Amino acid sequence: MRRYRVNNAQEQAAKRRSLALMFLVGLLLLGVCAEIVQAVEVPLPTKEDMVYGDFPVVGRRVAVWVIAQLHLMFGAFVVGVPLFILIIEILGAATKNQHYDDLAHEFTRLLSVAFSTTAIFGGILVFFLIGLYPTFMNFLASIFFPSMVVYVFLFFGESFSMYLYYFGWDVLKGTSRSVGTVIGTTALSVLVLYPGLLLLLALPSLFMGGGWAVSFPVSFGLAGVLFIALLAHGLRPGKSSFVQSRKWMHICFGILLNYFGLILMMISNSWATFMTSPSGINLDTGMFQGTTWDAMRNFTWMPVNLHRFIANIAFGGSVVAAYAAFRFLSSARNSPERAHYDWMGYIGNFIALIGLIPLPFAGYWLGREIYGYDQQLGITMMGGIFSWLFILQAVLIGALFLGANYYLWLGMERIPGSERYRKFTPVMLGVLTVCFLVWLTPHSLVASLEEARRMGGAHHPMLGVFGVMSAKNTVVNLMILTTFLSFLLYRRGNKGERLPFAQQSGASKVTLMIVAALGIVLMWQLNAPLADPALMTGLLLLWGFETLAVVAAVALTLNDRGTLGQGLLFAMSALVVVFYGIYGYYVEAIVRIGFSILQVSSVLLVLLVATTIDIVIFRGAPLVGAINWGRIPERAQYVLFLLATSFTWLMGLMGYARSGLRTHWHIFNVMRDYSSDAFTPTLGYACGVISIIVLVFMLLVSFIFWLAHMGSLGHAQEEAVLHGAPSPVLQPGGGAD
Amino acid sequence: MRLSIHLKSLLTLLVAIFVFSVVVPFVSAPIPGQLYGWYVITTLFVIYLYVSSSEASWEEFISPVRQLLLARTALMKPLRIVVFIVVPLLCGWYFSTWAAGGSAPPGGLRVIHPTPPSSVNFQGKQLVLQDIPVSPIRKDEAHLAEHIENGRIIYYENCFFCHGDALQGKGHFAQGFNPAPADFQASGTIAQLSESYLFWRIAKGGPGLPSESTPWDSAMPIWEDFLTEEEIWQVIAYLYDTTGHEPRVMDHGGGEGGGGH
Repeated sequence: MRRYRVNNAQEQAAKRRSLALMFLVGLLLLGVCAEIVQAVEVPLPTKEDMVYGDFPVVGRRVAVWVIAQLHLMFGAFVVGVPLFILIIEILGAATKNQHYDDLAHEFTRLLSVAFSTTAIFGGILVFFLIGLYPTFMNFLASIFFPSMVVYVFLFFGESFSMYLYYFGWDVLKGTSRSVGTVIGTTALSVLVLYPGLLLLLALPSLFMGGGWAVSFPVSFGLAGVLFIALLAHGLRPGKSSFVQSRKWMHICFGILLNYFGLILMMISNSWATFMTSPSGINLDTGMFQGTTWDAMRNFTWMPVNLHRFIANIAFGGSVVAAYAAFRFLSSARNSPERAHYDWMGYIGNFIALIGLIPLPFAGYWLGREIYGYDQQLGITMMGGIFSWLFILQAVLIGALFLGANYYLWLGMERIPGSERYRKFTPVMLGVLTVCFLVWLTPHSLVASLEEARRMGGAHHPMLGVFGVMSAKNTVVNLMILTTFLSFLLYRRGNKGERLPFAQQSGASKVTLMIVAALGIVLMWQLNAPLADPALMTGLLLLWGFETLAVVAAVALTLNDRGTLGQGLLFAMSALVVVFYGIYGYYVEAIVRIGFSILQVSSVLLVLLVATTIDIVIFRGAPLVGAINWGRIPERAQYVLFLLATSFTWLMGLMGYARSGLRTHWHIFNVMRDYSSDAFTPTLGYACGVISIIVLVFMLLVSFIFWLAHMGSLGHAQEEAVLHGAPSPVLQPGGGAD
Repeated sequence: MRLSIHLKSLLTLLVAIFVFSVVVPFVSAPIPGQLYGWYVITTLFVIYLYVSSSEASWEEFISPVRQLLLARTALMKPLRIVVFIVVPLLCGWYFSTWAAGGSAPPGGLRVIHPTPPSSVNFQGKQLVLQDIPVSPIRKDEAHLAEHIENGRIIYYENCFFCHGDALQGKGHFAQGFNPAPADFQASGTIAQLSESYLFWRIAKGGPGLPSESTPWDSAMPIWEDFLTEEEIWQVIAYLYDTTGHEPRVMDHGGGEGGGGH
């Protein structure tokens, strides 16, 4: 009894301490929020104020450049990978397929080791920046300090949710009806659903005005109601509920991890984009006047956020695929381990492709916003000294598309029945090659005097036509369509004779109709904002044409001619893409920019409807044979290395373009760089530095993955000793598309 | 008749080289060496992808090479020795000719759109180019036709000799210049630019080009020494009016409080 009382008293004290701690944290958060909305006036430092540190041998710029880029690459991996881990885990939970769950778990192991390296580089970067650019950093910190505090605290959230997610993987399984679990899961669910709730509440204010001032308080109230409702749902005696599911609790940690990663990325993006497109600076008074939030929501912030978000997924997928390729090559032939890593490489490559396809369009938006902010920046980027980086980018992206297709074709080796589709390979390769050649042809060419005289200038009279945006947009869309076709053929590789469409379920038919209708509506939504009255007729004709193609494709599908319907959609899109590509030469720049949206949207329409048709018509089709995972030529694995290297290189090159655009400014047009490094290095030098960074990153990442592998071996041995498990090796997955 | 994979590859390469070195020069102009190199390397790379895209075709392609390297037949042994001597010699010959170089000047990275400054000093007056989204004379719509007519006269008194009657950069003196005078009718010149950009280029001419990406070698004179501010705007209006191009208008964002997205 006495002991009970003591325990009780201790519990009471612990509760009081927790409450006090929560109160203090609450106060701190309120303080930070108040700081963020507090307007400040920060004077710009003058030339005399500027102080710089020195760095031996390579100099301050290269020192910061290398560390920042490495930090960014690891950061991209750490932010990109959780998203698809989560998707794979949810897929595994929904289909009750343990292979997906194991795969997601394996990816998380790579994540956890990369996480601390990201933090280490972040730390080094901060010290370097403070030591080498003290005045400049002082100025930035005066504006962004509140967001920096938030950033640091979010890091706690990120690391705790990451470790809970990783270490909780095996524990958080099955269901539990204990009150603690239900309360915990309910609280997590509310946290996870909160952004959606807030967005929902913000929608009316978007249309009717009123802003966020109303949305926030209402959202808090609704979150409270949601908490109580979910809790009641979970605690009903004898009834089962999703809040009793420990797996759902685990997924919630994964979602939170993604939220934290995303917000962290967005906050640090705002500091970098402020340097390119500063807002809130009054040049007359020589001061920054505004709140931290004003500085954060600068012109290029959102485009950079979106571009990086998508690129992180592609990059993460490609690095994971390279890891799988390495493990594939180092495992014995015909072993289950080899089969597993073949599958993992395939999934990694698939994720990288999913990210790669929308990436050019996000980049295009960013480019447009840079032009929109300042024509000087825009011309330096696309027409001036930095334009050659875009030619390198074109070559690498072309290599990515070719490599990804090649990997799919080689992958058909492991699919019995796929030889039926071999005949399409040369045609697709031909289309990709022509597109690639157009894609890499620069507008103004490197030519000797003699050659220039023979061409009659720096532009080739015929090939110069391929150097402009109309041609580039056309071929990139055709490359996307071809890659998509490769994927469809890969997917149907081992499928036998299709069932008659009449035998498909009613749900399939309804889904097809809904998706087709959605596609048509989406087309209108995407294209209508361009509606200049002068272009309206053309736009209506285009929409009618696309609608007709979709309706015809659906009708053909209903009549058992689904593949013909898909072909029709491909032809329609290719026609639209080529038509607007050529038409683009005859209109003004501002109209031409709009055409790129018409081209992309027609490709998106095909992606959406043709995929749905494919899923519906091949449902229930008998298999020619199971996929022989592991039976792929070894050269396919080197393609995965090529993809990862290309992505990493691209990040380095284009990251340099984004940052270097400011030329001799710390903050563009506002704060000059007065250091000895204010000049723009030559392209050769810059590419050299970037290549070294890529090499260092690859070496570090190999080391880290080797560590992860060693850790998993140790863990497997322990398991074997404890439970007498015969083999730690994972079995290959079944169908994985 | 089924062609062997070797013949197919060779034919593809030959057709590609024929297109790059005969068809394109015949139809328009020769392809500069560097781009030609890219095209041929890409073609070779694609042929490699084609022959190795399935195990069957790769085996077919690689088997003669394997034969050459490993077979102990009466034919292959001497052939192997010949190949092992000839191939390194060919490589050596190629690289020595390449390393010896020629007497031609190196190729230049021509940047056609030099980056404009944010502001220029025009005859002692500071003009912030970013704050001039459209030409000031366009505000005076009533007299626009008059301005364009003045622009025409100024053009024929000053610009016509190089940029030509048809505004295509083919004036009487054009042949003497490298780079050639700009072709205003083309879709890649003034159609892509804003009027303030043209103002900067006309006012400051070749010597006013930025220090990056030099040498420019442009023979364009510094027109602020000869024309007034209004005259330059007038000639710009004339260029757009005659070619039918619309000047590019930049969305002007940034500044205070960031932009809406």
